[in-house]
Amino acid sequence: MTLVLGTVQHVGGPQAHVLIIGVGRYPYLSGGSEPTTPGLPLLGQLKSPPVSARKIADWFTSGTYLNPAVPLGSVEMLLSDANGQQYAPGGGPPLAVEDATMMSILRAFNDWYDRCNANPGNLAFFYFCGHGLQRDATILLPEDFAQNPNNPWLTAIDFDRTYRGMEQCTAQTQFYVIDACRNWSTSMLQDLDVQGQTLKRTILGQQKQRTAPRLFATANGLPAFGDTGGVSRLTSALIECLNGSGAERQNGQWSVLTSSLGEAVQKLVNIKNADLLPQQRQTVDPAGGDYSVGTRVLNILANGLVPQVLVTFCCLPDAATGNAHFYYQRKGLKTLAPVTGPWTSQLPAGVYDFGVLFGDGGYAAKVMPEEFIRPPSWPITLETQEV
Amino acid sequence: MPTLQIKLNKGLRLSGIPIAVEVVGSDLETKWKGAIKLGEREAIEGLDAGSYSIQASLPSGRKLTKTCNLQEDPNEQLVELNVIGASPRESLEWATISKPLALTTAKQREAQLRSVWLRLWGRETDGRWCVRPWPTQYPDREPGLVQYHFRFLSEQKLGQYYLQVGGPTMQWRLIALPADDISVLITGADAGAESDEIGQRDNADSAVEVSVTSTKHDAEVLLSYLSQGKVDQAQLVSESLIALELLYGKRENPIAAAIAGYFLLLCGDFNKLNQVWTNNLANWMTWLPDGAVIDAWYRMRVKPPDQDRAKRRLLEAAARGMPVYRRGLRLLLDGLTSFNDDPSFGGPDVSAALKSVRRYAAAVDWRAPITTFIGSDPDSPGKTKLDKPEDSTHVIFLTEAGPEDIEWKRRGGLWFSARSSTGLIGDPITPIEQTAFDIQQTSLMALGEAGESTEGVVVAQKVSEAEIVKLSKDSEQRYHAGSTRPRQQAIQPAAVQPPASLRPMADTPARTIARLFHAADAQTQSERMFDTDPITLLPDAESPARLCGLALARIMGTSDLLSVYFLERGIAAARTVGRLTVVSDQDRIKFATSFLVSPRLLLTNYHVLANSNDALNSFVEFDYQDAPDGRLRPTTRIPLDPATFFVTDEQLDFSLVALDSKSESCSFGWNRLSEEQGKVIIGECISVVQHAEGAPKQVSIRENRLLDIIGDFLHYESDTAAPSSGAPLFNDQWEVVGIHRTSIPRKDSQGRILTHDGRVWTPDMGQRQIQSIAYEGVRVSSIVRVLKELDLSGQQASLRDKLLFSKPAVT
Repeated sequence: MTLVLGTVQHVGGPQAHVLIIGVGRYPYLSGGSEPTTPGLPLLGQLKSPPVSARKIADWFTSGTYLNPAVPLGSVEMLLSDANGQQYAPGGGPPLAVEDATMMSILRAFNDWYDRCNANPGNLAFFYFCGHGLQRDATILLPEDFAQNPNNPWLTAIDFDRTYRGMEQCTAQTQFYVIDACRNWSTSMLQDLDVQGQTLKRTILGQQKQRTAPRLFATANGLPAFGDTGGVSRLTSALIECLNGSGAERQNGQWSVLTSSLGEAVQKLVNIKNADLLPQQRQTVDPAGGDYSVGTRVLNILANGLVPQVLVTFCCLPDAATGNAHFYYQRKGLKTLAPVTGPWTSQLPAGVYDFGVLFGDGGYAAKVMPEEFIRPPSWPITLETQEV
Repeated sequence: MPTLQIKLNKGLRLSGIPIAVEVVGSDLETKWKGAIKLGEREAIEGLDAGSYSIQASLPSGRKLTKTCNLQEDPNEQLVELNVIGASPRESLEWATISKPLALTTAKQREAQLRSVWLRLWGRETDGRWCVRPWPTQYPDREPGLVQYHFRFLSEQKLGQYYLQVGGPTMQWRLIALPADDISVLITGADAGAESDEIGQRDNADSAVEVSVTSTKHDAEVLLSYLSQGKVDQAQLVSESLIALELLYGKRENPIAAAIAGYFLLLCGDFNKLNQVWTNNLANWMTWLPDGAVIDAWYRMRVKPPDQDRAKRRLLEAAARGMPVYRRGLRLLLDGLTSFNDDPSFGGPDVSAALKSVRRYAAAVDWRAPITTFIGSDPDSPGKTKLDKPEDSTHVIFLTEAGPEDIEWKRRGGLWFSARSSTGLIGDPITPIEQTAFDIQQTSLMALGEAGESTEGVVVAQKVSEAEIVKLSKDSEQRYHAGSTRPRQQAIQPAAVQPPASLRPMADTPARTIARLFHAADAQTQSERMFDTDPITLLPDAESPARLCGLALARIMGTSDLLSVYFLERGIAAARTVGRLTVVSDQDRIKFATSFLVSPRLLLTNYHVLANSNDALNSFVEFDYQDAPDGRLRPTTRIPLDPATFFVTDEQLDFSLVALDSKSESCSFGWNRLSEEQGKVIIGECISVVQHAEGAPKQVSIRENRLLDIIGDFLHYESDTAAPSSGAPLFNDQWEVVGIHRTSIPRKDSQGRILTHDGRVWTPDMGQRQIQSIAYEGVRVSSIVRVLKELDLSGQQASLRDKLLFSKPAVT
């Protein structure tokens, strides 16, 4: 385990405790340093998870996280990176981060659990990026997955059982991000040995009420994506949303809430899907999770910051979009799209007038006055007609 | 102050459905939010004059917005939102607000519907699943979509139903149909579609998409929001008292009540979800697994929790079948997992029920709000099939049938004889191989090909009384201690009383339930279809659930019928058994039975093979048995290799030894040892395959009845001669449940062993003359437990792990 911020034990009032696991190096999978086990799903080495894990750790350690009622308490991290285990928290001196093996994950989880369990006002934030599989449960694969060729599942994590085990944790606000594939294969359907280990066993009667959304990078049975060596799509969208694209205006502040963060991330990823081939698209799954203590605040934007909204422009009928010259106008200032055709632009949340012009005629110009645009995205469809 | 009135226009058919609406001010803060019913007006007071954006969240996930400028006018100002828009027909209005993309891209989807077939499964009152006639009706048809209507609720046809859909390129799927008045919308998948409102769906495994909605649309709205993770919107709808209304109306519409129950559980709203309602939902609708699941979770979560009742409810739910809603299946799985994880509440009943549910959960499409899984029939989750069913009865096609489909129908579908690719048929028995290994020891070379004892070789010694007494002493104590314990009646057939002989021997409820779940899962297709009286689990429960099938009737002793499959599996299991010839360093030879438990490891008794020295010169012979022509087969002898692996346990009386490495290339198969409970219960029949006194292989089929389970040991009686040491004891599924170790001799008042005819036995009479009151075997679960705890490394650990985790080629 490697604490990149904070102390091993929780001290003081409510705090946010973060556990980040990024696994890219898998010695016992294809392309790894050890012999592979036949019969397993075809999985190989990953480059994106360590990058993504560092990125989310940066977000927490660089001071962007703001929640006066629940300040940041600790950030613990485990990495398996073929390019090295170094991480420099908050721009400070680099640390050698421990490998994300089953045992080290278990140790780090236990410490994280104890910290989270110390105060009901705590926020427990769990992030995993690496290989995942789906059967009757979501199975997360640590670095040493398949170390035992006779039972590769001895070193696999049953996320669903772990999630249920976390019901015993006092922290009333919990948030789980699983940035992993959830593929399954027909051969796995009838194999009841495909089962991971829980990081926290359930003891009945000790459950507590909690709000604990789960955000999966992808829907059951589908892959998740990340650019090789780059930040994964989910993590990238998650950070955008934590920075404001997932915020709602409440009591004069822009706040990121447990109830809407998942849906916001899903929307952002969906918009980015539009430019991709169908088989490369990703379906973020924000559904599921306990909700018994209501909506909780995850992050508050610093005063004066206004979140960005991804605005997509098109015309109805669609045929008009190709020659359309879109614009938006706010406080008397009109901004034209740089080119004609479909347009996507990031604008600060607010009230705008939108419109479309057609330089060569063909369709009638159209104005859509006073549109309230809020994060994370806003589709603008301007209905026009041929002239 | 001005008053804003918002109206959501109703459709021709849709009205009164609540939709979550927000009113957002120009500072982008939400000024009001709530649920407004289609066709009704909501007056919102307290707003200042100014610009507002009204946003309605549709069940599809789309937002419909309209901006209004509220004037300083005392009169109410109305804003109308056209929620439903243009629908091709009245009956598709719900689709316009829940699945608009399917309507707009319908033409692109048309081709996918070709040759796609449907059939309706219903559960009979005895628990069997049957294909039901397709209700005569004219479906709604538009390009690329077909919509059927079922009126289970209005016609009082409550029960469990599945829609099965399959096609030339799609795996067969089963979709739970709520016993409500429902619409089933089937659309061709549009592979080229842009990402839809719920998210991009993978169409690779499915040519069609199926949406099931009840006509209780307010419940469907709640379900839609929940499925998309829009808990806020779901709460707004719930605050309009819908959840309570739905729950109150459970008698009229239990399916809608179940949706409300799931929502209140999610929110932890135990004030609204009170015990009487959940209890009644579970008790009144015994066909609805969801009711039992909701009641179980209520009892687990309420203060103080009632874990025992919750556990029983979960067991009931698992026996009733899979919940209609995916959320219920998740809760059933999580609930059983939680009980299984907790050592205070776990037990064989919970682990067997969990295993049963996991079979379904592994094959479930967790994206669908309704339970949907891949399977060849409702009892066979995970069994993948393509194309048309073997039997065309009650099969309908989505579109006009093509020439091939018509021909298939005409022939009754029977020429589609390809079996399931995932059937449990074992590897075919290969022709008998000639002896594979030579035995190096000179003295043993004198043994005949078939292993008969010959001159010059010291054969098995006569067993002394002291040896018998030593071996059976502990067993005897266990036997007598066991017989004084009260036996419990755990289960009973629903209609038929068990035979009198079974009643006093019935096992504990937990083990019996475990056995029933285990056997139900392992049943063959014909066993499941056989008309038997269902077995009631937890007879004292308020709404007992039942399991059915021929395998269960056999356990109950109400039927002796067996599938022919029993013989095929029995032959495969018998091949794994070999005669063990133990040659001690004093050149003493003894014969016993042994059997393969991994490709390389052989199991027998400790008292047969007590040390690795004895194993050094010993060997096992496979196929020492009669061939169909009545002559002995050629055998295959394999030497033992104790240097590679030898583990022995005197207490549990077993030895596990490696065979020569070349044994792994042989095709005798092997038996997987399982720690799992539920493989056998008291009163059940056991089969034994053995080399009694070194003779060629014999089998005693179901002639042994389990008397008791005492700690690590099984006691059973037999109508035949005493089994051979080291012989595997099999249940009706040919799983190893134990290994025979000794007999418990009958004694006179002076403690002397008696013969069959009542005389005092002496060693000269031979072991066969001893009268036994019972036999003792070691439980395989105990052996596995010990093996798991061994601290091994290197090749030994690898061989042990292969035993524990690998899958046998022949099962």
